[in-house]
Amino acid sequence: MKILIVDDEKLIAQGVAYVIRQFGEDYGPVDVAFCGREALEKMAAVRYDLVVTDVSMPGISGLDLVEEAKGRGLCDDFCILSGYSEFEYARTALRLGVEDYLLKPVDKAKLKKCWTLLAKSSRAAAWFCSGAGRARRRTVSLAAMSQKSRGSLAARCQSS
Amino acid sequence: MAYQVLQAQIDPHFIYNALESIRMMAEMHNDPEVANVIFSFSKLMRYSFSVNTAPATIEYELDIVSQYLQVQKIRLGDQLEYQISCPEPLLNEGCPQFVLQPLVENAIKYGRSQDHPGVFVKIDLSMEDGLLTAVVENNGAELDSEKLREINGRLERGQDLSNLSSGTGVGLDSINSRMRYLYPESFKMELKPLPGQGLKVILIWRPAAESKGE
Repeated sequence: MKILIVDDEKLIAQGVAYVIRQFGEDYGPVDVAFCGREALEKMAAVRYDLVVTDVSMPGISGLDLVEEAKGRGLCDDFCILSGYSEFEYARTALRLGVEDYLLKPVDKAKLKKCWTLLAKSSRAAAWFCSGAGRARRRTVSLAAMSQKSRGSLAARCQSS
Repeated sequence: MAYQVLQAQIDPHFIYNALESIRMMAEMHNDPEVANVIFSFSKLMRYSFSVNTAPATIEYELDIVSQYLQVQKIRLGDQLEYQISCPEPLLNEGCPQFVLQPLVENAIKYGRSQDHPGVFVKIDLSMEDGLLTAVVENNGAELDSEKLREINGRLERGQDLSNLSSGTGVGLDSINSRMRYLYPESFKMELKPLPGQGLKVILIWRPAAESKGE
């Protein structure tokens, strides 16, 4: 799986990439981008399986990045990693169809779970024809989001 | 007052980002102990700043208790030992925020003394006939029986404890008031001495039927 981490705070982007590489060889390669524009450039050059992005960044915000990248067909699967837990952000993220909305400090187990769900669906996509694989992949993602919207995501959407 | 209100509006997300940067620096320097304690501390900060409108769960509250104990463990080392036990089916039961963590904080604070700096804190949850019981105990605190009777009487009547000199009043008051509001029919709170030395705080409520949410 090819992964891109987007955060204007370089230490966080590099650190999250480092943490993911520590998960093992299956989790990578992992690239980093430090703003929305750089992320779009990288996505235009490389087809990533998953993009993890911060929300609040100068220039193109993380949510705008998701919308534009999806609109241009650059990547299907996104995960938000944010310091903000406001409901509005989470609701917009849900509307844009992101896979997960993780809060800083990022819980490694949750990060890994997000990968595992996608990795499993990627393997399924390799076994079946692309249409069926894609349908299954979307089902897995929506099941994950549906569970979160019922429980943990709602609980995490606290006004800080 | 106005100044304090304005100051309180400063977005705490800066703090989460700053702590996350420091944590990731520790990760990249291969220092998992420092990274883990910053993770715990950062989660505690988020918990402290949050005004949670959704009813929390036992799982969420115990996670915060666990992060709190891990941070305290870094500070106190061998002087703090703890044990948390909760049957898995209870993890999804309702538990308002700031109910167990303040009791654990009290158990450490009042369980240590100059002569006995070490403290053992035990958190135990159980359910019987739909009533959830949470017990937080330590092996150090002592209260004379007269004061204990006075505290328990006031807790039962919903009276404040602020003019008692034990120093534990505000936390217990807050828990008692909120839980009596949320679970008016079933909630009970009691302090009991342990044989030898130590004190246990017992909370009992029926989570399913009465919750008004937060």
